[in-house]
Amino acid sequence: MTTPSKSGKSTRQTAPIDPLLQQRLAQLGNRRPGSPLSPPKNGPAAKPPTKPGRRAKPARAAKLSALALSAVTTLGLTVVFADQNGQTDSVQLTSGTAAGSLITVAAAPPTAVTPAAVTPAAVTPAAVTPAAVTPAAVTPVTTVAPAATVAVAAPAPAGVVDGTYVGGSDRNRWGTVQVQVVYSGGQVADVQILQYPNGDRNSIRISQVALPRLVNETLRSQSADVNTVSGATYTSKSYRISMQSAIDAANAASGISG
Amino acid sequence: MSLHHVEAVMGTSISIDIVDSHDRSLVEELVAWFHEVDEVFSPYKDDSVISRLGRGDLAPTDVQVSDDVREVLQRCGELNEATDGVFDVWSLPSPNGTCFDPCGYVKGWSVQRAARLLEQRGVIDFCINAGGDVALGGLSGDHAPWRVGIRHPDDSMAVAFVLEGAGPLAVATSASYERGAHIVDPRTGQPITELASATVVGPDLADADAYATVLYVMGADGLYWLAQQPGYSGCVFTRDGQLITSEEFNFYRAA
Repeated sequence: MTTPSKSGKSTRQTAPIDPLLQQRLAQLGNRRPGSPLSPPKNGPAAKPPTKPGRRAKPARAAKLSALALSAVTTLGLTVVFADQNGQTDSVQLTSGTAAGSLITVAAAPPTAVTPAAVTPAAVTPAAVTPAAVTPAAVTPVTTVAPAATVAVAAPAPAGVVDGTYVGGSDRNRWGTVQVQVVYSGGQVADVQILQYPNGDRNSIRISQVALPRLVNETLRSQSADVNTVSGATYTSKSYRISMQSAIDAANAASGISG
Repeated sequence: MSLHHVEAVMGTSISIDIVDSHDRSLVEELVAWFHEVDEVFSPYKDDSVISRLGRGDLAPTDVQVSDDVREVLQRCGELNEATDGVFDVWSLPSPNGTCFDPCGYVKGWSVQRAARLLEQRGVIDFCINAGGDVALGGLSGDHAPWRVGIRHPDDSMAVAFVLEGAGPLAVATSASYERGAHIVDPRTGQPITELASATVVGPDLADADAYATVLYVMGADGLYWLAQQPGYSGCVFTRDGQLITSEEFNFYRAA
């Protein structure tokens, strides 16, 4: 589809980056030293701000109400902001191969009071080491949005007795999956695969790719600030089942219900 | 006092969180319900009612066809009309070899039923997530609104953004990732190529799930159609990485 024509309130703009926005991004990055919002090294927003911490055009920027950033060595970053008329500008900022832009369509007839159509940045993840993943976000006005992820088993409740807990084994069409979970300091410190499908070439490939990913997923999920995830269809239900039973065992051994 | 359970059923894993009860029988009741749904509605089972209906061995009016099945058939028919054929469970390649596959409605519908069952049992705060389709009641464990991450279409481990809200609230996502191009346009039989994913928020997961499928098929323009459904709003990720949201959708977005 192209620019929605049913409403004058939406725009779609994927083209070059607004220099003003670049500046703002740089400024926002400077508000939190070390924030991943600092422009990517090779990104087009690398231009340093002239007056760190201050906006070049405060009047227009007054309604810039949210700017979130997930950091997986962020390849792409997109910001939408609203101007005085409530119009949305969509600006894309990318580096590397990542692409992403964010558009709000005013699908309903405009009402008297419309919220500033401001949306956190879309996030382009990159496959990097989990260590590089720091949930981070910066908004000029309010809170911090998390980035990381996921719908694996329950996060480790505090109070689990340190130790290694073995999950039950579960068979799927590719073979049997069994994991054990190592708790340290009340947190999941490691997930080890005890059994995985290795019957044929395809299941070896699945195991090599999927299981390490799932392990990372688990380790990351306990710090993710979400209760659940929409859109995450099953990756490996056998893994989850085994994982869940290991966590249940850990909870039971620690006298934690639920 | 809370319950957590994950059940592998209906071709996916269903995660059940009940915040304000420790009555294990609630979980058992839900699990039994989902297995019953699987028996009746699975297109993978040759002897399921759905497979028999698809083959024509059963007519919708036969006595063996339960009220639940009739309800699903009727609602699928209504959705078909309301969407000018975009939602059409009678024109989809089904695993049982027929062209009848109501899975796109049944998953959300069954979870919504489960949610209603919990409400009838006095449960207020709960979250049921069936393969990424979420029904929420009340508040989360820390008496805060539920926070629902929306999966990033390019990375199963990343959340693109977060929605926040108190129940009753449903969030459904249709996408091609992980299962390949499993959603086809019933009007053409062709796989959908415009979008990477479509997410719908609203009061009822049965409809939200169906609407997410509709939105996914319609493409970004479907957001206009969605805005005409009272209480529902959504967003889409295009294949080239753009996120397009309807205006109301942004009310749910956590800062």
